Amino acid sequence: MTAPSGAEPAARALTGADPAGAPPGAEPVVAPSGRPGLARRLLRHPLAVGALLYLAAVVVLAIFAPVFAPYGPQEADLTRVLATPTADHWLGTDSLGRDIASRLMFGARPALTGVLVTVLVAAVIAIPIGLSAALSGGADRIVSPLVDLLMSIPAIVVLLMVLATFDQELLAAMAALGVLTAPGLVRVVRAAALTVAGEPYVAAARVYGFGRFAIALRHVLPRITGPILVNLSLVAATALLTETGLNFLGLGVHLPEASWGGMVADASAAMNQQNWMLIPTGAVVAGTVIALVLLGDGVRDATAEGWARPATPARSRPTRDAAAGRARDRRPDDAVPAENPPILLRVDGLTVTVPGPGGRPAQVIEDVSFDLRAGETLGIVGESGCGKTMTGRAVLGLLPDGAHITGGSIRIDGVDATTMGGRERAGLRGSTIAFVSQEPMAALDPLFTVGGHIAEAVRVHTGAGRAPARRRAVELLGQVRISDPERVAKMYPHQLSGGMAQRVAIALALAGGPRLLIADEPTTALDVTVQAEILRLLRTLQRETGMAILLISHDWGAVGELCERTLVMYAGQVVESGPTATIVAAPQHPYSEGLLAANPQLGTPGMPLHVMPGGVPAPGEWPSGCHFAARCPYVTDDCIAHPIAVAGTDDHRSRCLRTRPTHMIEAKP
Amino acid sequence: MTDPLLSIDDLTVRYPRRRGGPVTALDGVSLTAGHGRTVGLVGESGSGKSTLGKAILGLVPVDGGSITFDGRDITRAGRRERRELSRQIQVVFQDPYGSLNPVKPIGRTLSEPLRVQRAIGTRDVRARVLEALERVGLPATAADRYPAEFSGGQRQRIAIARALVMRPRLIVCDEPVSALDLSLQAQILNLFNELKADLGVAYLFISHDLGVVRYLADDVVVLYHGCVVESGATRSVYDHPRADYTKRLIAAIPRAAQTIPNEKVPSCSSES
Amino acid sequence: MKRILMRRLLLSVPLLFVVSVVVFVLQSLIPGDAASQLAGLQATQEDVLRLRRQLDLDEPIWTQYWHWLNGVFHGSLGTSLTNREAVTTALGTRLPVTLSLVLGATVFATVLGVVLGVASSRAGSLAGRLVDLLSVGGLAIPSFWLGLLLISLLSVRLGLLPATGYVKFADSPDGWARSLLLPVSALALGGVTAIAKQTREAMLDVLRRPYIDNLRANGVPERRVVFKHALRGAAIPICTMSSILLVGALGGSVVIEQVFGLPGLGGLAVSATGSKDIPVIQGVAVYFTLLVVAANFLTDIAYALIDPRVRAS
Repeated sequence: MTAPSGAEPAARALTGADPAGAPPGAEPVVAPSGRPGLARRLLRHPLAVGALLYLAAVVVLAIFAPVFAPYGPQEADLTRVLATPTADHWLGTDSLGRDIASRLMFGARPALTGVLVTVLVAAVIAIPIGLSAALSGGADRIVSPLVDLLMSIPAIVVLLMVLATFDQELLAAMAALGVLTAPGLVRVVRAAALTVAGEPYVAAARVYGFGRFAIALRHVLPRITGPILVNLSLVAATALLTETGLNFLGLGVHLPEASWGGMVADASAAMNQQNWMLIPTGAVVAGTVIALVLLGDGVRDATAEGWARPATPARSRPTRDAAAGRARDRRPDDAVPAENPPILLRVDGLTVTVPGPGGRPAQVIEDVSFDLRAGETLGIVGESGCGKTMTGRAVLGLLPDGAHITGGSIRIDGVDATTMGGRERAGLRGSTIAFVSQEPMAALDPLFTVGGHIAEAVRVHTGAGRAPARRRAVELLGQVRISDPERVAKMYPHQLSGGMAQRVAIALALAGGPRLLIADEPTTALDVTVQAEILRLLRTLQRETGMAILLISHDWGAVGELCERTLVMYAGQVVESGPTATIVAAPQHPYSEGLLAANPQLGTPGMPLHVMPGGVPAPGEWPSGCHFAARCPYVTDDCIAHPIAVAGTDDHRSRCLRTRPTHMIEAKP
Repeated sequence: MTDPLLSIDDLTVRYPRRRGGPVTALDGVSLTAGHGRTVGLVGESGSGKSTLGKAILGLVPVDGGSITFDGRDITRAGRRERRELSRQIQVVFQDPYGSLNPVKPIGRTLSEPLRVQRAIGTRDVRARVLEALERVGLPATAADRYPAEFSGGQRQRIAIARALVMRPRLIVCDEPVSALDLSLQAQILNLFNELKADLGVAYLFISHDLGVVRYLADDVVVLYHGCVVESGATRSVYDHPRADYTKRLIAAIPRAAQTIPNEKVPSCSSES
Repeated sequence: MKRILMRRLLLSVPLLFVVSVVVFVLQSLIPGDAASQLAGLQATQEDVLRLRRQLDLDEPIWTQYWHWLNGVFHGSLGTSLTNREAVTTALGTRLPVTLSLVLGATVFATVLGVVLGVASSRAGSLAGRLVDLLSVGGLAIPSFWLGLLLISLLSVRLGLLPATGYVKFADSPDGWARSLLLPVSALALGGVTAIAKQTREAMLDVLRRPYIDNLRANGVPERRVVFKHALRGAAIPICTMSSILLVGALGGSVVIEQVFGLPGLGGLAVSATGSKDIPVIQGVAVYFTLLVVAANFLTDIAYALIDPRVRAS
């Protein structure tokens, strides 16, 4: 919990003690973040602060009960039994006329000490054992079965025995409870530590000579304090409930000592005459448990914030000229020469907006337009964050939560899909437009067989019965060139290799006989030789079925193999479109040029690769002029001044002032 | 010629499995890496290329054969020896997000290996950290910030800086650019080449990307199912591959805008 | 799969052994014994000694344990020291009460919790916050206190349901249900919120996975995505939570039986602990442990039915 805050001063001492010593040439990109300590961060969580105040009040009242309590815990006033709240007894009195408020303060003492003992015992046992089980296989072979064993021991029986043995010594029972909850906590610590121990930075620490103990202490423990604290707060909550339960049964503190559970029992005995007493006694227990849980959550959140990215203030982005730029880019609707196949998909001026940092809307796609004809293959190329995937998802009608279309249209078979209802839109998926994703393994439900998966899709799209759907599924597996489709149909996803799984995912996509297949990085996660096979399969299927393919890829090679035409996207815009071969041979936009030149395949060993400085600006941080201006070697003042329109021929166009507008598209209104 | 910097001879590594016999990840692998040279280690997933890197770094136990670094057998170096070796051999991993401890500021992450060595004073530690940051093109202020504040490309620079603070002679790079976009990848590849030219550091460059290896490596070793199927100068291996597997690998590289002959789509036999 | 179940069965043997040894050792530490309790305050030293010999309490602890273990192998858990009743008989009459209570609460909590959890997972972040809030409340309210509140409102004030007592199922199924409704509800409340929270989180987790996206993208209707794929994907953590609840309900039943005056195993355990009646305590410990073993066993089977990867391992 203290590691992030503790580490900071040390790091400052190390690197910030002598600011003048910094190399003069190194300009700070961002000012060093002044980071408040854990306590200050915790104070930003109102619920946690409330919980902390409540717990502090309970602790203070318990410790100084003799000072604060208006009456002694056993001070009985038989003339005023079972009184409801009055000015003298502001929480009323019990069946012996004792002041409830005072007894609650004294009753907090066994409750709090009991909770403390349980939590300490559990933590002291579980944290070292859990850590060593995670970091040493040998220890794990002993610990894990033992934990399984101990977790099955019914705690209540042992607690009853301990109470009998130690003559109702509550603390002994609470210590025993700590021992009994430790195995569960060991599991939590071990699981959390295993995740962290698998990260590369732990391997790096081993490389520079850290032992297991040092790694556990310096690298693993600070990372897992969050889950540990949350679970300790749950242990504390359970301990309090157990403590009150035992006292309710009369097995804890000796009567007439005050205890919260005992007071609930008193209330239950008096229930036929008056039930007010249930309220304060129950409320104080419930309130304390809630406070413990909320404090645990708050500390976890505050700990994580210590090293998470601080919310960057969103820069204001001028959008003044965006609309003007968009209007100039509209394409004539009637430019369809007779011999071309019909337009299957027409995306026009598509703009997608997401809520950015601080709730300010940020565009992730801006003014994207393209046509896709039946049977055509189109590639979308660009780096991450350029809006390729978002474009594909917009066409599918499956934008992530929060993202929505704020401009333009998506016409599928001439009908604008952006105006369709959810059900109608869903009806297009699978039957008209199908989808193949990047991670073939993750794209298949691990709980269903390959055949079951595909048969489900077949039944959804064709309404076929079980047996025919099953037969069709096997046919589809054959169509994606799986050699033993009957056998593979019975297999589960985890039994497939990556290449096989991608074939299955493609078969699933073919189930509804789609006319457009959107493939989002379908080969990126695969081995090189398998990549080539999948690309070849897609090309063959495209020829066999005549479907169109929209291939989204960062890889020029994949696009070059499959796609006649290509769009290059940069920072949410289409910056170039044209025949793939033309773009590769003679890119018009400086970004396409830079991206092609950065490809090490085309580089000469020994010569530096062509480098575009910097990176893709994040959505919400796009300039109003050319999005690429900051990285462009040919940048001029005009580039920055206003949005750049698309120029060029119908066949090959680019969003750059250097592109010669052979016929002026922007002349069209 | 002097002795090679790194020489691996007949190395075998097996992983125990819960059931059945152990899996052989490396089966009699031999290779050498010269001073200041880049050796590319190519293969598909499961070929054992990452295991080889881990064996050199002492992260997996070795079952047979030997690893010799600068004339000295480090096959089964103990922790003390490893600590000393870490001044000579360093590592850069693939995942720019997992390779830095998110709860520690960059300066602390970079200074940690130096402080473990206890060889130099605090003032020098700081100088070395700033020097390394400058080398990878990051400002000194980066030292006070946390990994979450940096992009993937910047984090990979930081991971490289962490390797550099020790002034190593060999850096094992395990897919260091695979998670990066093309333009960032080019920046990092250029950085690797600059460091090699300026500092004379040698790389063992593990990658599945033949294009990257062809560009960067002086020599290349092709691994297949834990065995070396081909090795030699990069140029000659790429231009005249001898092993069938190498030929297949090179044929599978997609070339931009150059369609491959339309052969029959091969069947994929089912595996279990 | 078989290996996992076999392992579970084999593990239950040392578990029962460990539990019975722990109980025996702890019991031997208890000052005084059943003989002095039975003999009463007026008894002479000789009376106590004689009683002690009659009850075999003068033998060393390991011999006593061996006798008990020997009995177990012959299907006997011994006889109660206080009333000479066979332990299996005493437990047998009380087991149905505890079983009805514990299983009832687990089923009630699981069914209601899954319904609430699925509904809230589809309803957006406000419902999520509500579930979070309720789950803190469900954890915080002590079940015995809730039981008292229910009695006070529904039985004492409105007279809708019996406050205490147990009716055997064989005598009157309707009366049985009425006698259990309040205690089961009191015991289940915390579980309902825990299951609802677990279900919601597991559903949201599964709904974020790429395969759900892929199913949607390829036209599988939302209803099937949610109920066929996502709910099944979320079933394993729900089962885990359900079995944790069952084990927890065993502990909670001891208090709840007291509140509602139910003649179950918990009350027997409390009174036997008071009178140091070792064979009865031992018997309760064995029964509770067997219930835990059975719960774990059923959970393992459920895992295997849900997930093919578990079946394969």
